[in-house]
Amino acid sequence: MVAKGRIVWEHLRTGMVLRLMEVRVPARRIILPKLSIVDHPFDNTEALSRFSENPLVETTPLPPTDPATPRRNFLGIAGSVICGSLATLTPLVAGIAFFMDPLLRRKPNFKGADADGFLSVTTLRDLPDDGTPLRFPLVADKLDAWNIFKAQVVGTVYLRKMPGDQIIAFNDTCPHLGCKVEFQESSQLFLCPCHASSFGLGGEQKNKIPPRGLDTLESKTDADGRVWIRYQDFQCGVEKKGAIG
Amino acid sequence: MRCRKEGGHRMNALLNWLDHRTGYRTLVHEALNEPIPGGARWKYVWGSTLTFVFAVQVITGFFLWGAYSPSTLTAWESVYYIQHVMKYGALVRGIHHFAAQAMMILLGLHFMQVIIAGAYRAPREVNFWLGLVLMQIVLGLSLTGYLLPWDQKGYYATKVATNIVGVTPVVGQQLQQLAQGGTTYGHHTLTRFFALHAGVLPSLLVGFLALHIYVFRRHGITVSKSDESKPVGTFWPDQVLMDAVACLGVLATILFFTVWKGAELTGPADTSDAYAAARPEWYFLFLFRFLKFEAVDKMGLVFGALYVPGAIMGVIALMPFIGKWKLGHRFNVAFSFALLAGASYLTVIALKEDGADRNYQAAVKIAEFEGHRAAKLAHEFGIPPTGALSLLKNDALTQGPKLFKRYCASCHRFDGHNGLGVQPFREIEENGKKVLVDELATAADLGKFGSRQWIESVLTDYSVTFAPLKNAGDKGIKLQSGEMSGWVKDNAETLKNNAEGLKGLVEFLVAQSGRKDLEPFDPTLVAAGKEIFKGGKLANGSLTASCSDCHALKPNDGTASLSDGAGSGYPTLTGYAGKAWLTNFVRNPADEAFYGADHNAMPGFEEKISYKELELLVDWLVGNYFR
Repeated sequence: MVAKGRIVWEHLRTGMVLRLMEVRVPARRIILPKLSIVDHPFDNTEALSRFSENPLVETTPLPPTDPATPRRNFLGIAGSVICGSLATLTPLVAGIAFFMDPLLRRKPNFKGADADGFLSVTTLRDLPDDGTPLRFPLVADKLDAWNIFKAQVVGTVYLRKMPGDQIIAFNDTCPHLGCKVEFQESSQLFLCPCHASSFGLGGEQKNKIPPRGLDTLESKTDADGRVWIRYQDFQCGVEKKGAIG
Repeated sequence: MRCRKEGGHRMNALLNWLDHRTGYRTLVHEALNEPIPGGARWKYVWGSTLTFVFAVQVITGFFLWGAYSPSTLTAWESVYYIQHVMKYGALVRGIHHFAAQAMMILLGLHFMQVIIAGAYRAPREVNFWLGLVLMQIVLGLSLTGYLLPWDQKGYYATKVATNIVGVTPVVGQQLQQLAQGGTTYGHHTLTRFFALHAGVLPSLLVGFLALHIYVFRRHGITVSKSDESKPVGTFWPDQVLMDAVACLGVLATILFFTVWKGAELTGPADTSDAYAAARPEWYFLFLFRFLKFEAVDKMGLVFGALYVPGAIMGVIALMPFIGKWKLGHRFNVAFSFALLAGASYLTVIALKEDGADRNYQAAVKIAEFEGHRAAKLAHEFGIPPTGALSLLKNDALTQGPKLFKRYCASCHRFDGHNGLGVQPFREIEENGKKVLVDELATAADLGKFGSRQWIESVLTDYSVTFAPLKNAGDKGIKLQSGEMSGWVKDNAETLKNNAEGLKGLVEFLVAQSGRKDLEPFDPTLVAAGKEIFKGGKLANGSLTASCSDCHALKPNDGTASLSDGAGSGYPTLTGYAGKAWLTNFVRNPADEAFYGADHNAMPGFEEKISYKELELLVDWLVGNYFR
């Protein structure tokens, strides 16, 4: 089978040209004698018939095919492959590298935090003394690619004031798949409207749906009683709390 | 060894399996084993390089698509972001930008090769026409692509093209509005051009290219007489090697320009401002120049922009038939070369004329400057939702010179020009020839206004500093040789002999402006200068009259007023040449606190300029802008 294929291959390489020579006779329309290499994947009936339809006007027979030496052929193939690959891969690789931009570059999502990355949210006075969580927006200049949007809500947090003016801050994004959790007074639970994750007042998991408890955020209180939060987003869906970006 | 052999068998079996189901071997065979009568030739590479460059455009285009945003508020902005912020963005955009231009050149070469070889003749007529269709599609891609960055150059170049569409008989207006997505340029111009550029035209190009290659393969390469006797070669690998080397050469050229020049991004399109450098891309420049001929202009735009190019395309399309006549082929070749020569000639004169056109050169410089400036501001401050143009509109360094040109340059100069780099001139007829003559300034050159250099030249070279006043008629001459002029005449020598004292006086006065860009002010010099201003005493002699004898000044160090001045016509120097001082001065120079009605030749701008414009102008003049 293999041997036969090889013969046919060789035959095609040279035979095609032989046939061309036969074709090049003065007649305008000529039916080619079909050569009998049709019993194989390299079925060239169609190719032959194409030649037969060509109105060929030249009368001189074609010269014999250039007998390529194996060495020249090898160099030709190697050169073609190398040059061809270089030419096509360069724009492709450049394009892919460009596409990788989000992974190659750190992009902050907002601007306007203090030197340590804290945003001012509210004052101790505005937080209930019984530790009930309250939701607050964080306002900063939102950055989106080339744009800056002044004074936008860049995230929301739940804050609880604990005895001794200690602050507990939660990122209100559910660590399951990123919906916003809602504190429910009646059950004293943080509930997620998407897949029913629930969390206790301390942010601990109350069911097996979320992979971890609510993500706490760093906070600080200054001399004027202003509460500052270092806002971060965390990877959803995994057990380990890891900041994004 | 055994293993390898078995592996080989398995591989073979797998390929056989695949071939049985897909017939890929025939396909590969068909694609590669094209016989090339006369052997592979370098002159056959152009078609392949064109296909290659198109592939490059598809690849880079898709990636750029992933970062581009077509709207008037985001097009320039997203391209800025690609070009200046995103990793490898400049590289990908550069390749896309220069590959588009390479395509134009390759298109020309391919066309000329086809004509010279006579490859348009029977039985290849249809393929020739398919090639012409492809040419139109590529031209369309260039035209639509040039607008997408929404920068000054692209915007105004494309505007001309759509206006040409608008003069098409009968359906012109409708066509133009369809292309623009409305009666004017806007969001929908970009969305439509983008859909054409990234969707419709490339799809058409792929389709017609497939047909073109299919028909080409049907007839094979056109072999010249001299090559006929040479041995037959095959497409693979002989011709493929040449094609690949040529493609690599084209790519290297594209990369060279990308690294050397980089794709340009001029300032964001500003529809509110005249742009004196509206030109198409270089490959359409010949057409632009053609339309400028007086004779062509007289025949009307439709004639020059539609009928003539249409007729030329018509002749080209008829070349297969013309070629049948005895001298037809020679005519076709001659026609093509004449076309090429004509286009080259027109391009060269267009470039030459623009090179000599001051207004054009200045406009191009401004567009380029605004591109850099907008990118710098965007990088520093971010772009507001109102777009990058609003950054420029609020930037004193960008707007100041324009306002200077509009309001000040009819009398003043700025470092010898009108603020925008052009020495004002007018055209006069001299012995039947048109000659450019500089307009004379009639007021001081404000290029160095408020600087140490300015103050020193006022104090020691008054008549030179205000020399242009001589061109302003009797009143100007009177003002130029007024009281201050006399004081300088009497004291210039003394001041020059007291270098330290002069330096102090200058430093004291310049410190009054509070200009951040002139800081730091030397406190010792300022203190010394204050004493000279007040008492006129120098280390070596003294002034005929001290400054405070005439000028009122309350120093900006918080100390008491040095003098209340001598009244109208003696400008108050409190905060001299600072923002507040200059603002008030420009509003009403004839005010008692400045020149007073009798000693003033400058119009007050209180009513002539909006507060916002005045602020931008003054901020620019006093150097108060982001650097």
